[in-house]
Amino acid sequence: MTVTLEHVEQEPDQLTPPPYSKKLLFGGTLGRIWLWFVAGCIAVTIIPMLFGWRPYVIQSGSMQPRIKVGDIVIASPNHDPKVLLGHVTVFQDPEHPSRVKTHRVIRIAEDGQLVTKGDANQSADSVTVRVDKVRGIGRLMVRYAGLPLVWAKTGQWLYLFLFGLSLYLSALIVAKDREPYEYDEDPEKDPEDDDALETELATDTAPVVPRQRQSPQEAPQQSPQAAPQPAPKEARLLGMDRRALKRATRRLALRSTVLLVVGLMLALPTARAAFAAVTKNTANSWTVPNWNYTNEVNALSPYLYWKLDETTNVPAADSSGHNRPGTYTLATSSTFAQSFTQNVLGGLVTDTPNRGVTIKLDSCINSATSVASIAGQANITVIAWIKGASGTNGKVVGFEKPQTGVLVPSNGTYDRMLYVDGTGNAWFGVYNTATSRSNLRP
Amino acid sequence: MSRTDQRRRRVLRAVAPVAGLLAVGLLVWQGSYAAFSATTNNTGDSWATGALTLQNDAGTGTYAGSTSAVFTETALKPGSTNSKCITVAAGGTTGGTLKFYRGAVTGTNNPAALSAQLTTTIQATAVLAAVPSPAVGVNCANFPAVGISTITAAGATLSSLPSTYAAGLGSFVVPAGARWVTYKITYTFTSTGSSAGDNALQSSDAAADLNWEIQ
Repeated sequence: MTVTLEHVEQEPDQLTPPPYSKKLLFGGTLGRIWLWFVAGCIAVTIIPMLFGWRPYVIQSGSMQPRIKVGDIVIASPNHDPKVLLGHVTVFQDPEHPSRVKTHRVIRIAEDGQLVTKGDANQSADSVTVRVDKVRGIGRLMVRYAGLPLVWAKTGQWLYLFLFGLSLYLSALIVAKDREPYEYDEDPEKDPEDDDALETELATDTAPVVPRQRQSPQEAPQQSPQAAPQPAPKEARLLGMDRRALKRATRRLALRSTVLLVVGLMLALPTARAAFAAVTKNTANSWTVPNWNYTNEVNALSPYLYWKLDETTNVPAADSSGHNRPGTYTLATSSTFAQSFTQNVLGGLVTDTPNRGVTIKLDSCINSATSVASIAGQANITVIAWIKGASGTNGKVVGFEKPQTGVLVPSNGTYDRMLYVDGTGNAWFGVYNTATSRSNLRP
Repeated sequence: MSRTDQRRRRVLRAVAPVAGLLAVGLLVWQGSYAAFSATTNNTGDSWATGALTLQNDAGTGTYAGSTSAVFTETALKPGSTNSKCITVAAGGTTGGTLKFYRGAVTGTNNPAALSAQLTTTIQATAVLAAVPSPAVGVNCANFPAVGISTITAAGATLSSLPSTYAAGLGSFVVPAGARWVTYKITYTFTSTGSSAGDNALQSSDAAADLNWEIQ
């Protein structure tokens, strides 16, 4: 069918221009513009590399709207913070050393490092950039020229394919849209003498020749048409060989060009302009005060607080502030030195002075006679630091009726006694006759 | 073919490269004109559309980029513990990976030693597509009992928490649009194991920012 139609158009006496002329002219021009445009983009990207500038394809959008995904930023080496300040800077990402990032330097930190930020980000990047990690300062930008690479990296194969196809089709159509005399594939013409053809065309006398690209299979159908202009068989064969060679060469060149273009674009380094945002909950604090034992005890509002850190035979001071001192009361028929050893160190490691007293024999410290007696309490709390030794025993603290010293059973009543029994047990008991007592041994 | 046609063809052929290269020049000019000027930085809240945003509520239900401390812990002693909850809100037309990390540990007295005794556990909800309801207060009322994950390693301390996004905890993949994640941060002041060690922490203090970042 098609062949028949073509035959009609190719009537030798019909001097109409070849059927492709307008459309092909238009397509060819578009194709040329497109190819020149792509080639120009590549040239602009590649040529600055001669001066040591480097192109970077932007892969993400944190520099929008100034720099979009797929733009190529061409940067020249620069490590001067003063110059970089305020400018788009390409640097090695301090958080991902294998990646390159393109952000703007917004200020210089006190330590001389660069604080960077994406124009579209709400806050500065969380890690500052060392000046020696800077690859360069943005000098030139080619809008969208890196899109094919972005498509390749992000798997947008359809776009990439369409781009490749557009290049291929452009190349094809440009190859087709040539001056008529360039059509060496015409089987009816001897293509050896292009100059002769040109002369023919220039005189405008030559009949328009069919310009149909012809496959060998179609040749026999064409042959009746071609019969009026026979060509020597050898010459024709020779011509076919040359044509085939030319075609193959052209195809190879075309494919190499497309491959080269794609290859060059894929080989360009990429830079991230990463979106990022930070939120902070600031200045959380944890504080340990200077824990002081005296303060802690007094925080409990004790009735009285004897530290027993005296070094001489003076009344035991009340540290609670209630002025309820104690009296060092000697054991019967003994000296003070026999009853007490004062200034025993190592009681409380954090308390200063760090002193205690060893109570021996039947000696004790009882509340001074100046201290009014108190009524029996339903609840009492006793805190005492004691250090027992093997075999030592005795009362630690308790209520007794006389204020005059160690109680003997005949001497009065006693109650709420905390005492240790010499085997490591601490007991708490109440009057009378030990009806209730608790073992406090931990 | 007429001479006019030929001429037109030749003119067009000559024009094509010029047009293609002019278009290149336009792209380069347009690209370079605005992008590299020093005055185009967006500051403050005026970031471009399409950006990511991230805010937290410090447990108050009111979101801001920077909020004041949820922990102001005084009178610490071994065994002291407390939990606070913060909800982080992300937004924007692109997604990202949300991570938690701390700011630098600062302080006037022994902050490094104290922060090493502040055992820290951080739990987080999944990425929510709506504001947590009922609201999770700063003291973690209504923090859900199910569907949470612990993002800290066992035995993590304030000191050992990561301080960069790259090493950050959680790694929640947040899609585009408004999303929320609630974090419960629990610390325990752990004894050093000896009185002498604990006493060395008397009068110490430590402070740190809690940071979330999405990239």
